[in-house]
Amino acid sequence: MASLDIDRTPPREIPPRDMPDSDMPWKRAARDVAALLTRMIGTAIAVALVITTGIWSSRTMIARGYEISTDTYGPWRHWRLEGRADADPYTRAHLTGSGMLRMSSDSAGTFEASVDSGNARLHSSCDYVIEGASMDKLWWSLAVFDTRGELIANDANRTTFTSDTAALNPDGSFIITLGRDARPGNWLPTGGAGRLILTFTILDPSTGLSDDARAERNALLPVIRREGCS
Amino acid sequence: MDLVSQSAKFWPRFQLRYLLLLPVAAGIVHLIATFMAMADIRGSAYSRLLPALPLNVMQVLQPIGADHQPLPFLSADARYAMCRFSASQGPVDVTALLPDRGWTLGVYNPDGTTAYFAAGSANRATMVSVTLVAGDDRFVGLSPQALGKAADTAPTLSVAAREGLIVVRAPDRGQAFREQDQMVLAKSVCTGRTL
Repeated sequence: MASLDIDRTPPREIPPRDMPDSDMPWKRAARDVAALLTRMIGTAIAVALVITTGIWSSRTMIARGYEISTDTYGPWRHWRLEGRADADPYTRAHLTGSGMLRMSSDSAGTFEASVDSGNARLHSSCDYVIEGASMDKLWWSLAVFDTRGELIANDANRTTFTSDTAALNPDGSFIITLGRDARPGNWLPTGGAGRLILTFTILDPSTGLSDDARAERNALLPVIRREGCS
Repeated sequence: MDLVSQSAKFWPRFQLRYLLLLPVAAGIVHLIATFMAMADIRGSAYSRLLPALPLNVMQVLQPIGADHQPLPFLSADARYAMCRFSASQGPVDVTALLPDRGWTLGVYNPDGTTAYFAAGSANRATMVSVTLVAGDDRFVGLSPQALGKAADTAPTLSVAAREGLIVVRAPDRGQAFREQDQMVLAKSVCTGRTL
């Protein structure tokens, strides 16, 4: 008996001539792949956006503070709870990450300025005059740094003035100049440093300061006036 | 259905669901990053000074200047004596004379927060005596009075601090006072007691 040679493979699907192009199997597969890719890329973008935004905003607030943790007095910025046990996380992270050793804000006021009183960046190519009122027998110091917090090397070995070392006016007020070229009086050399950061520290008396006295002190912070740039 | 209509079907659902979640998720990442930065003391002043300071020994630092600046934003407005302390093996006694305005004694935790701070008064010398204890209710020895003896020193203040830095700061008053101030600074003491 002759065997029947039956072909058991399923017949190839031949799309009917009237099937729309979009329903073709390879196009459906392409659609699925495209949808999957879109979903994956969208998710990756969303995750990257979330992580970048979260970390960037955290780092910015730790570095700059904003109103939540700092006070601003003209060009001077002050971390309100710096060095205190009840400091907010931004202030604590700012202090921990920067490597600074700062006196607690309930014992001293430490103020930083990276701009002048006209809100322009402090730069060593410019000359500045810093005018401060009498601090009523409080000990203070004014120091100039580059943006990495390093003192600026100079032949005169001058990087800071204090209420003890600055030549004060008879009424206790003071004028300190910043610039490349030597000047008479309280001159701090800044040549070649690039962008500058000033710190002004006022130590509270041993008996402490009331909130009113502290507010009065903060109102007397020096003015930083730009004289000219070269 | 073509690709355009398919993605139009997909995107509205995606936007509604995820756009609401994005700020919330970013806020969570923000908080985690902030608390991680707060807990990371690898870059703190304490960690930077750790290799240079022996344990429970007060050390007068070289004058601060552009060529010698152990910490960022550490001004040359003062001379410093520092001690890295650990009260884990027993209390640490700290004594410093603050002869004038601008002199300070600070006890700092490893994260830079202040555990104790004292400032000198104008024209009046103040002797500060502090005992640092680990703060875990550990027995730190009997007082002279408990041993039946009269105390031969003024009572000291106890401060809870397990480890950190003690910083005595002498303001720079100019060349004429530097040697004198250096001598006073060198008399500051930080001694660990073993129980």
